Amino acid sequence: MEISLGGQGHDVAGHASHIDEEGKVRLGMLFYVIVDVMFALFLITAYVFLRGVNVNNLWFPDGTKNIDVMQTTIQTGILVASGLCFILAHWAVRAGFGGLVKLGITLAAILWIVALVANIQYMGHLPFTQSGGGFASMYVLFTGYHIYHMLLGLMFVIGITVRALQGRYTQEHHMGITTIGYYWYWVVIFGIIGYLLPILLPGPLH
Amino acid sequence: MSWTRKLVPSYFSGAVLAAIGFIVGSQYVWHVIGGDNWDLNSPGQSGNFLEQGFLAGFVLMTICWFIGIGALKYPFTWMFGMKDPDHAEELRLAGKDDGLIRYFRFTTDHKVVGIQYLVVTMIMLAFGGLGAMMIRTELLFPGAWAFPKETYNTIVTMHGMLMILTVISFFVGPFGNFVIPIMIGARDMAFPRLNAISIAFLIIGMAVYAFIPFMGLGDPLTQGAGVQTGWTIYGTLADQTGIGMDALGVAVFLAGVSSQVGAINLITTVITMRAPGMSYTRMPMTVWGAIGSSILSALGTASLTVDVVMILLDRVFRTSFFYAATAGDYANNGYIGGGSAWLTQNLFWFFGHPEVYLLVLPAFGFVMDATSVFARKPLFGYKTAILGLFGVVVLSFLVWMHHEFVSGFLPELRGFYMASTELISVPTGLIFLVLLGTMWKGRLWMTVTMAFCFAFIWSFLIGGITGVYLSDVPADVQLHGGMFVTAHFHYTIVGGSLMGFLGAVYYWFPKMTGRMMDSKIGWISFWGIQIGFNGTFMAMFYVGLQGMPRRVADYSPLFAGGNFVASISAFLLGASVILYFYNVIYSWKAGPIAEQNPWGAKTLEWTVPTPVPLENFEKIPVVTSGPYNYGEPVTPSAVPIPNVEAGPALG
Amino acid sequence: MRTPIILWVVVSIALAALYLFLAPILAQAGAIPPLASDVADNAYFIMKIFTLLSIPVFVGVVVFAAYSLFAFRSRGRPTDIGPQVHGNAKLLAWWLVASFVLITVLYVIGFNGLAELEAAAPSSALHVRVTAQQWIFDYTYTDYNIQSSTLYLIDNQPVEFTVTSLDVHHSFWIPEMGVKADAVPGELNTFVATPNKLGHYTVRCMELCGVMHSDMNTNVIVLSANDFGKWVSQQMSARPDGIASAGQLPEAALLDASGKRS
Ligand code: HEA
Ligand code: HEA
Ligand code: CUA
Ligand SMILES: [Cu+2]
Repeated sequence: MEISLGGQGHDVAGHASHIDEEGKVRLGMLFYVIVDVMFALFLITAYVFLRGVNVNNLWFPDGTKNIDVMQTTIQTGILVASGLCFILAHWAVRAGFGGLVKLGITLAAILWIVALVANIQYMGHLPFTQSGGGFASMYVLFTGYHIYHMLLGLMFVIGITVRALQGRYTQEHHMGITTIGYYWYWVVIFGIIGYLLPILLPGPLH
Repeated sequence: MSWTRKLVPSYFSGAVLAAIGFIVGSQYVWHVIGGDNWDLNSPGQSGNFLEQGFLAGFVLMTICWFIGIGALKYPFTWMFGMKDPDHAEELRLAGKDDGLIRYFRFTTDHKVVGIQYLVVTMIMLAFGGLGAMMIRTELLFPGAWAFPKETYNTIVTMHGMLMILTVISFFVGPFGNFVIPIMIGARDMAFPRLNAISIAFLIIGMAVYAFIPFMGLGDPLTQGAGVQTGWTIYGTLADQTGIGMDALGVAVFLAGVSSQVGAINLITTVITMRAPGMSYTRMPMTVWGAIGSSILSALGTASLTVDVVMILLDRVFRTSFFYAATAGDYANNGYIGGGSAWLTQNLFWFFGHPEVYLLVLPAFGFVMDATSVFARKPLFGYKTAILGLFGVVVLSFLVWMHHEFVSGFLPELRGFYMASTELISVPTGLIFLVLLGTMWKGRLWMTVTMAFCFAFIWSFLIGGITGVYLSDVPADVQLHGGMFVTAHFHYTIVGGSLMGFLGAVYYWFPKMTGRMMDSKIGWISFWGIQIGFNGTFMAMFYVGLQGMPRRVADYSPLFAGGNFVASISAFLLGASVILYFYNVIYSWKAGPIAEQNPWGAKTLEWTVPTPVPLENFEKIPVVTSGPYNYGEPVTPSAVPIPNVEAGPALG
Repeated sequence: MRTPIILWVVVSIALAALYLFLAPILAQAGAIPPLASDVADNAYFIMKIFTLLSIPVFVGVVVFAAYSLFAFRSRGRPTDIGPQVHGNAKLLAWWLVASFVLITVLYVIGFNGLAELEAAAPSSALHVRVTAQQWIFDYTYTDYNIQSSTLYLIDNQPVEFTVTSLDVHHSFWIPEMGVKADAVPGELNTFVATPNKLGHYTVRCMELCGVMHSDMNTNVIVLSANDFGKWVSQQMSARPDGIASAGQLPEAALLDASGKRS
């Protein structure tokens, strides 16, 4: 048992159990991600909605500067790289390459933290304030939500790295990697969505 | 050492730390960052320190609460790769040999959490009911005679939201945690710690909620204290109402997280923790009802969360999600605009409609179970009942715009939403078919629980049929926003969920506390509740048809008669509910000791001894038949043992 | 099975008859607002049919439940069990068919009503722009460029209302005319109605909009075409530029037009 969100391999009184503990934790994380995806879906809906109704033409008021695509591309790139390293580690642990697991996870974690710092720094230097119209508000919320994700994920990231370095993940038992993978991939996907939305659905409709 | 070890960590240490956290957080923003500058209107991100201080206070308060109750210990030991908790530690967390204090602690025993939920939700119900009594006092006579108008608005808001939060958790909280794991033959919930965290979220959420009436008192700049938006917290008004809105937003957020966490836990438990032989078609209906409700909570609640987050950002950091500026002069207010008022309506109701079924589905499940038990007949169509429940779950995501028939948003779609809304009465009708069919030719044993089941049928039928009136666009255009709607949903919620809850407390009380509730007081309170309830809300239908609007402190003398009747009946209702509460407290202390299976039911929770031991089952049962097979004759002396073989615990 | 079915039929018919007998009397006594427009007539006609159709549904459920309660009740704790039936496919099918037929009928009725509600404004319609703000309604007659704080309408002439708001949600409602539309900031919400009775009515705000929500009422006066013409010319002559004064807005309304505490 590598990650246990409170579940125990045995029950408290020490009975062995007929329950698939690993499956349980995987399922729990999956449901958590689903709840999170719903939250994100409502955010995206709100984005599309506000852009669609564009009340008083203030979705993207004249004179608003758009975001710096170069900057966001780099940030998203770092995050995607982190996700790729994680995939590598996941593959390595299944294939039984202990060293590669440590390397992949550590790299993924470092990239995650770099992306987080870059995001926070970028948040402070947006070309608009949160009060600058519908798009600005929405964009700040998206970025803020993403940063919140990455901060929460920091706990997983540190935990999984420590454990990988301790060599706790084996070919047979690496549920921690599988489960946290769900979260990791989801954050990367949300990062990509948040990156693409302002590019695909930018300024005003009309 | 013993008492410190008992009290730290516990809810008491959590409360102390939370108080410190609130003071530190708020004072820091007000005095250090804000430099005692109370100018509310300074534009941009630096302004509005009053609200930023409250927000910081609430956030720190929540974090400190979790530290104080010891909930963060495990995540941190996990994070730094320290030793996993050993056996003794787990036992201590589960509250073994801990006596009464385990009810005031962060604990992983699902039965303790269930009791905690029961007490917390009943307290919430009492405060919500207190609000209802204040509403009815104000509406006793025309004119705002009891409270100022802004106070009345705050009371209505707090009553509505608090009651909704109560009803969201008063089934899946107490019974979902206490009974359902035993029903499916599990030793605990899937994630015992998440379980404890979900009640902790609810408690801290309610602590924040308690701030609402006091925030902004005596501040000349706010429109009175509290929050005057109604439970719908439409962003347009919420952006400018009293600063109680900040507390409401945070509280709703926390309670929402609580219900999502609980839902995840419950669904996972049912999927993975069933005893051998407990196939999906052998689960009691209560389980199915709770599952349906959890699905709605997992998928729908996020919409409300997004809504309140946007409101809080609008208020505190001056974003403009809901702020639709109409002229340039708003620019000098620090806002540019670009938000939409329809967005808040859609976000709220996309949560709001699934949520109303979330309230009632567990009651559906329970009422079907109880009817089967007290008629000594299997369910009249197990699959039919599941079809009904899940038909409702699916359709409930397709009807939310029936709350916006007059909003002007996409009026072309009204025909579609009228159809989907009317369609939802078909699966709901199946539940009625099952109930009637189960009773037919049964051996009806009229206990107080069974009486509440009959009350459920009566009142939910009225609530449902009036709902169909509202689903019709021309009728709704006339009735929307009036007391007819209020009467409709009290008939469905009070008449559906609350009646189910009161019956369920009576039914599971022997298992949860080891004592029977007093049946004489039970019957008196039952009749008082029925007469009071129907009197109140029938009269409300009447004034609704007459054209009385909702949420008004002051109404035209035209409606005086109906309101007088409603108020007097409501006081009877209140008194009877208090009597019921008295019955609970009294019987908990001094009721007769209950036998193991007082109702002769066949579901698993009645096969374990009372009080239920830690880990519930000595040996995990192997289930060989459905939950309603009253195969053998039932005699009062020989407690029926369901067809359960004590099998070896599987490896 | 016979007794409850007979009861069902008898009670349903009796209740329907009672309803048909009582409805006009109660309406006279003030159970519903006096109707004064085509839209209101439409809405209450539909409600009447709905009531007649839901009586058998309601009575059916209640009669069967009550009959079970009395006929199958056991004294005290039952010592034997009921028949172990697990459902009845035929009954289920009939129940489903009946519900679907019922909602189809309801839907068709409702859809007809909806079509009437959504009928486009005839070219002869009077155009009124309703502007809501905390806590007052304000009316602009775009055809004449007149502004007024009391709503004057013409008997038997269709009116097209366009409703909007300056600050928060409000909802414009004339109980006697069955018309209601949310006033949504930044959006226009349009509907048509034809008043058909002379008289004085009230406009009510139906969406909680702050402290004075319960006082947000204004008067509606339905005039004959002649009287309305007089009123219009009177208003036109009141100001040389043809725009009548906006009337007195309460202090508070101005205070909060900014949408944020001011
Ligand atoms: C437990 C909560 C609950 C439940 C179960 C329901 C059930 C239903 N509700 Fe209700 N509703 C609310 C809680 C609930 N509602 C709340 C809280 C509000 C207002 C919120 C606010 O504005 O503050 C509201 C408001 C509301 C509105 C908006 C009114 C308005 O503001 O203008 C509408 C409109 O369509 C509506 C319709 C319905 C319908 C059609 C059902 C149906 O599901 C009912 C189905 C049941 C039956 C029909 C009876 C049994 C069926 C049979 C016996 C079968 C045969 C019958 C037929 C085929 C017709 N409801
Ligand atoms: C979700 C569940 C729920 C429940 C259970 C109730 C229960 C009750 N409600 Fe409520 N109500 C709402 C949800 C609910 N309500 C909502 C959502 C609104 C809309 C708000 C809005 O418009 O925004 C509303 C609005 C509302 C109004 C309309 C206000 C208005 O629009 O102006 C009224 C008026 O009578 C009312 C009355 C009642 C009554 C009499 C009860 C009774 O059934 C209550 C019975 C219970 C008790 C009486 C408790 C007994 C305990 C005590 C009396 C306290 C004892 C004290 C201690 C021990 C401390 N409610
Ligand atoms: Cu305007 Cu209520
Ligand atoms: Cu609804």
